[in-house]
Amino acid sequence: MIPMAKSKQPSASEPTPNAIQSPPAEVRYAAELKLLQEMDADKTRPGGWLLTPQSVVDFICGTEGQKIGPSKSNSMAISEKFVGSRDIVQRCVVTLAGERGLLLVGEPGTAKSMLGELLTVGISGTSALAVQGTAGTTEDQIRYGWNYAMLLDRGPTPEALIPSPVMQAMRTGKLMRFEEVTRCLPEVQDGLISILSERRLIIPELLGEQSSVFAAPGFNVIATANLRDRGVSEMSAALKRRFNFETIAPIADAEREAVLVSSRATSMLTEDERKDPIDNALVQLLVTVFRDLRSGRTAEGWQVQQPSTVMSTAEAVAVTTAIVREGAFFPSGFDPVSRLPGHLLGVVMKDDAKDRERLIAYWNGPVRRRAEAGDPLWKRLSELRIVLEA
Amino acid sequence: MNREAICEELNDWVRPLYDCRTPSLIGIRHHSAAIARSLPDMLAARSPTCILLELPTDFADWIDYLGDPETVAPVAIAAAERSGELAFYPMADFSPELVAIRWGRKHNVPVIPFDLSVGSGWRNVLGSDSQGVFQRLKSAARSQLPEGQGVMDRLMRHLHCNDSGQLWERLVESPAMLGSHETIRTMSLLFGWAVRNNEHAIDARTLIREATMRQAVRDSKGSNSVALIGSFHAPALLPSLLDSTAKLDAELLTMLNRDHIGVGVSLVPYSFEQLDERSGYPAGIRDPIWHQRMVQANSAEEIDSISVSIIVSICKELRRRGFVASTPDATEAIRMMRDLATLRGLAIAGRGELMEALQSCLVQGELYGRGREVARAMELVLVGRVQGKVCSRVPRCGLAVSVESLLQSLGLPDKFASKAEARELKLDVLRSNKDRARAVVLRQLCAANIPYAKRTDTIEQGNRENLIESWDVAFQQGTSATIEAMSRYGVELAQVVEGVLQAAAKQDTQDEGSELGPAPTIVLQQLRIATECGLQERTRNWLDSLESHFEQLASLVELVEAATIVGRIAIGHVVGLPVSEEQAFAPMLRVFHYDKLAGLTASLLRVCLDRLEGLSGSEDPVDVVGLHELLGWFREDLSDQLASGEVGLYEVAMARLTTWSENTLRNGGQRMQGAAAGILSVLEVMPQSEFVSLSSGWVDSAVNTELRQRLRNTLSGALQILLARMQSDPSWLDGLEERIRSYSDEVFLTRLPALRGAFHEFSPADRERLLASKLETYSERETLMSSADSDSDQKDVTELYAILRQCDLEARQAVEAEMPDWVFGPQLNADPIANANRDETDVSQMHGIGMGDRWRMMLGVPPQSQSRASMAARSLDQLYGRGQGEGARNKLSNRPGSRSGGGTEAAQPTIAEWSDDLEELFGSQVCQEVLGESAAAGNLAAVEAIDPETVQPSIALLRNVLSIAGGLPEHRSEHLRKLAKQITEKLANQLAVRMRPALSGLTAPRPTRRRTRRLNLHRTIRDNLVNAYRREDGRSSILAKRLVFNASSKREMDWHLTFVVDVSGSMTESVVYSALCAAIFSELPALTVRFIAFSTEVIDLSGQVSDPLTLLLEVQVGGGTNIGLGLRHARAGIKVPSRSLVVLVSDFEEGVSVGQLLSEVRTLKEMGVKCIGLAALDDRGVARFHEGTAKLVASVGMPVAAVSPEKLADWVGQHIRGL
Repeated sequence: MIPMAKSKQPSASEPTPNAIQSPPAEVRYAAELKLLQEMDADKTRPGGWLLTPQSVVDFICGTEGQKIGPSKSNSMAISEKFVGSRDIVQRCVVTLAGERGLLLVGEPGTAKSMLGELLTVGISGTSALAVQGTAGTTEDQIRYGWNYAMLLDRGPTPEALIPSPVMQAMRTGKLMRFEEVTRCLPEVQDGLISILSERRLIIPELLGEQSSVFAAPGFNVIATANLRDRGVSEMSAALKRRFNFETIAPIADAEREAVLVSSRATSMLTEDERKDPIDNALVQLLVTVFRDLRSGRTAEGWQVQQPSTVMSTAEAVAVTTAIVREGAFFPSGFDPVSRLPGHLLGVVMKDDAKDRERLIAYWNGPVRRRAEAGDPLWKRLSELRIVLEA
Repeated sequence: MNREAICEELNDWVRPLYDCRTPSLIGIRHHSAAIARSLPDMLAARSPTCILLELPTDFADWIDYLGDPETVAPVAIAAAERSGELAFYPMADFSPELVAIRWGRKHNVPVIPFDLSVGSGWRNVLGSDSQGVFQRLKSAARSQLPEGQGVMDRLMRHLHCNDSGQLWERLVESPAMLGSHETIRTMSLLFGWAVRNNEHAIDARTLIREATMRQAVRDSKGSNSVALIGSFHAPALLPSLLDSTAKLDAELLTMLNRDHIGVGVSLVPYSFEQLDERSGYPAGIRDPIWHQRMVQANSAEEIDSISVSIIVSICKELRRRGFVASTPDATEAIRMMRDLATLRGLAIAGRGELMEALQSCLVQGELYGRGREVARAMELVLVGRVQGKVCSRVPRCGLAVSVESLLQSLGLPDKFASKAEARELKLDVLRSNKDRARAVVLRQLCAANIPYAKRTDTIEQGNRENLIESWDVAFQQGTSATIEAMSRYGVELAQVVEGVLQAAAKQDTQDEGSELGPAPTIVLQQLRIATECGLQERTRNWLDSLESHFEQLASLVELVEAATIVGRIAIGHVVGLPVSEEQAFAPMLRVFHYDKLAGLTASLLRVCLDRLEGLSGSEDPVDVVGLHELLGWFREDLSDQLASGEVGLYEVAMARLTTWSENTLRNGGQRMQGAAAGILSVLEVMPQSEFVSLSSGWVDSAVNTELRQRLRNTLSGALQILLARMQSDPSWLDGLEERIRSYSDEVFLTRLPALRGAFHEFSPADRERLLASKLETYSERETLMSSADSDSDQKDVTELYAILRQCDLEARQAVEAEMPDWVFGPQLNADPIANANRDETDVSQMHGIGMGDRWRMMLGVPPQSQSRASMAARSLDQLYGRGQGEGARNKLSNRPGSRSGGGTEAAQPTIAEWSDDLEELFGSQVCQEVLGESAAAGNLAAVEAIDPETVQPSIALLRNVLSIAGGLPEHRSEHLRKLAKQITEKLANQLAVRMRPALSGLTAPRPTRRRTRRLNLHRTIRDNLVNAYRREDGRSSILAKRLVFNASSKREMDWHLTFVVDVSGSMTESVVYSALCAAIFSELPALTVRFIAFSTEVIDLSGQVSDPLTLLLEVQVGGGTNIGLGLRHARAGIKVPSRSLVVLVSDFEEGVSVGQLLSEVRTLKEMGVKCIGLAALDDRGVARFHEGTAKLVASVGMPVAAVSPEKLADWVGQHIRGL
């Protein structure tokens, strides 16, 4: 569930977004946001929210091609940015209007982070307030740090304080995102507990009124977590209870996934790199392989041994991009299919040596059978088995 | 566009439906609370003279019973016809049908069921001549209302629904509370019209039903009637259509049966549990309690408060189960539910919103652990335990009637048969179709627990089937009563069996997570019964389910069994499922079609092959049996079945099996190496000669204790696969033969115990057959000898022997005279008899024991000569006894004067004598092995003969010694303890040397002032902020007066290591190693070690952890496997989850509940405990484990591996160091 590449980038009116590798959602969808904001101008909404909950849902799920707007001239269709059930988005929005944080969980590559980004943009207008969780994330990044030089110079004053994104979001009443929350150490994660329950951050070093930062209306936290990823620390039960959980599943529909991979890959390539449109057959092939390996069963009902790695849509996009890029820079006699097994091996082989065997077994089974059924692409792929054995 | 706008627009379109007065139309949906609630108002507003109800006309006489105030919902009414046509309607207080019946009774308005009778025989109408009528009816029906292309899609899109159920919820159910009853009626008619518009292929049965209903409407013409029909059917009853189709309908209806003889109707009490859709009973609905309360509610506020009270009860139930779900959780769920409804523009929150809110707020993203508990709490609260009752006037049940007619039609004794007339039936099921049908009915009666028939022949084993079945049948006293009691499951026998199976499956899976599905044993059992009883639909369902979780959970043997069932279905050998018309016996037995059989076989095969991965390290004969079955299936049945299936599958599978075998032969466990060699030979990948040389290598290399152990296991594994072949072709044993012949007595005797041990696992009869075939190659004389011997006619035999001997010697001289340069080499085989004779003579001349006797001794048959050989054999008999299985109870034919009766044999030796004998015969080291093995086999005294001082420490010996320790009386255990102590200490010391390097210098980043080599920079700066000063250039700097370091962990650390060890099967090496490792870990100051042993019970041995011997002596081996229980106990003792490690040692053959196991692992992970699952903890790192379960466990966060003690130490070290 990666944003659908927009056919018309609002780049013309924006100040040189081309200079940014990947413009944030608030820039990409500025026009849509503006329109929705105009429509919601006098409607009641939760405190601190830019849009009404209904409009936030529309912003993310789109209006299915229907044009909306305050007047006929000033109207446009809102694009679908998140492929998935509208119910999920509705639940997310409702959760954020309440007192609990929202925790998006799911396998890697199911566009949890993107959904989080869209929600912050739709509700608070910015996706800038974010903490990226890693094993090295410290409490400073959740609470506050000090500018030591200034601290020495002037003592503990508000100026010497370095506010964390969380603190900024609390002050301004905005949503903040906490990516990969389970990658942080449990002690660090637990820093969120008091913030989420009391909505107040205490700074014991400062005196008087400045010793507390209270959350303005509109503040809330969207966290994402890969519960099945390796090497993650678990969340404490206390923290879990401060969140509502939404599980994001991989894309159910094969065709949609293929469209998504293709459009997403297009948007990731630069002008030079995408001289030719991406080969649809290649994408189909790739998505089929990914889905087979991901689900452990082919569309024909054959069983496949699943590799231990996660075969996400994002990985499929990466492989497509890499293959197309290769074709653009080393064009002579390039056969995109021939690169597929190698890239696939790169995706699959992460830390379990048996994964290679599993991939070979997949080649021996479904790939060979499809090749025998006479499909030339699969035939070609089948011939490339040698790459895997190298 | 919102809902109101769409409805406004569509209102005009459905106006004709709404305005229709002949009859007035009320569209309903089964179990719709909204309709049920407002139905009395709708009816009252029309004050009809009669109510037409969409129920089969067969129910006409039963409406009265349904409406009786004595009848308490839920009840179920059913009508069944002989051909299997069935109508089944559960009814609850929220069923509009029941509400209408009650209203009619109260207001004295007749209620007339006017739907098609089940006895109409509508299938007979489906001939080609009626196609035209159907076509015309279809087009006539279409023309009645404006064609609303895509209305359904539009509605679904605008109301954001995914299916029609949700659409009903949002279009009718949710707004119902705020709207008038007329709005509800409009909405439901609108819904029906939209669905009908979307339905392009209305089936023939529906058309016939609608024609019937129209006819009934025409017949009731003139009266002010109300028709209560499914909203889908409403457009079919419009007046205009009534006129236009009059002729067509009449034409169609004349083709139907008019007299509905043979329709049995029954009204039975029902329960909410059965009514719940998840119970698997037909025509159910989710969460009956919800609907029940909805129908009783009078206002939106009331509905809201019902939802609130449901959420609160669910939280309460969760708390009762020990999960955190407090007031804030409930508050949040309630808020979320209300807000979701608001966001979706619904008047009140429906069931959908309730579920979503509960899921978001309570499940916490864990589908296995918490999710399951939440689901169970919801089930308890929302399904309820309401039980219905039928009024006392209801006639007796339809089941009795249908069973009686069934028995009559098949000529089986019924209740009118004389009491004494118990009949014995012989059923030729595969040839006579009637017998086949009888056999199925008898099986069904058995499965339904109705006492009537008992099978008397032995039921088939494996692939062997009895062609003629014999049964004892009689209509007994309990039969009638049981039939009445079983009628709650349905009105037909098959339906009852179905219900019984359903209930059994539900019962058995109660502990399992619903995501996992039932355990493999249950699946197999259910599948077997379903196939036997000819329950086609159920068979299909179970066959479908084989492909999902079954494949993950089943063991190899279970998979092969499933495949066997599938195979038997395919060739039509399953009595209940005929595959061709010739075998069918309608209507009881219809032809069974299941087009995925071939695919299923293929997929099962693939999983079997997957499963092999977990078996490489197995030492369990049962696994080799599984392999053997797989192999047999592969060689014989498979090729035929797969030939029709997927291309290349057979080759791929064969290749995988070969690869596995090759790998296992190199790296597998001992027994599996042998089995792998056997498989390769059978598959002819490995030539027989190679197997022969391989096996001779095994024998040859058995020079020390360990290798002799190996010889025994490996050979036994190979024998399990090859035994049948060896019996017919002794050349498979040439490898052994050749080596054994070359050995001197001494060398032979050292290997003898191991060889005999290998053969001992087979039944005496098998061994004898092997011996017979082997001896044949030596000489006819030998055979004669043994048969004569068995007659105990010693004198004759001796004479015969003398004559034959004489002949032999003469022949030998003759040969020598004729061919002086004849070389007597063992491989020369010109004349088997001559050759064998010569061998015999040669070997006995060279050594004391002849070849024949050597084989006899290996196979556990007493030798011929009364020399040293018989002594050795007797000594070993002490150890091995006679064996088990076929022939074990008869005396071995070759045993002169065996124990039975007062033999002339010497009394059994005492242990001391025996041990002396052994020592003399086999040498001291072998003696120790034999004694150890004898001890393992339960001979307590044998242990006393082992000297603790000189004992060679080995895990195997320790295992043997320990395995009898439990049953030893205290006064005799002293020696044993001493012995075990010696071995344990020696082993522990050896192990500790290897493990310690991985554990030294464990540190944790704890700040300390004590000087260590690691500076904690961050803390140092913070602590020294007071020492800040300004440099001359104005910049500030810090003087680090107080340094802070990271402490070495030894003093600071407080880690908890818990061993959870499976002791269900046997005292495996892993258990011994676990105890030793635990002891070594417990020496480390940084670690607190707990040791929990479990089977189906748990013993906490943490107190004994520092003394592995005591610990091992405490362990009681045996029982089933309940890993979840062990883990739960481990979890209960964990105080600091983030500093706890749990090591689970098990083969993952979970015997109780995989669901529970997974949720325990999940919970441990959630607490933050680091877990590892060890399929084996020993030096070889080749494990035997259940691959499917292990995979599942790994997927919820516990990595599974087979590791050596050093590796385990590494893992522990890494975690404590925080790497």
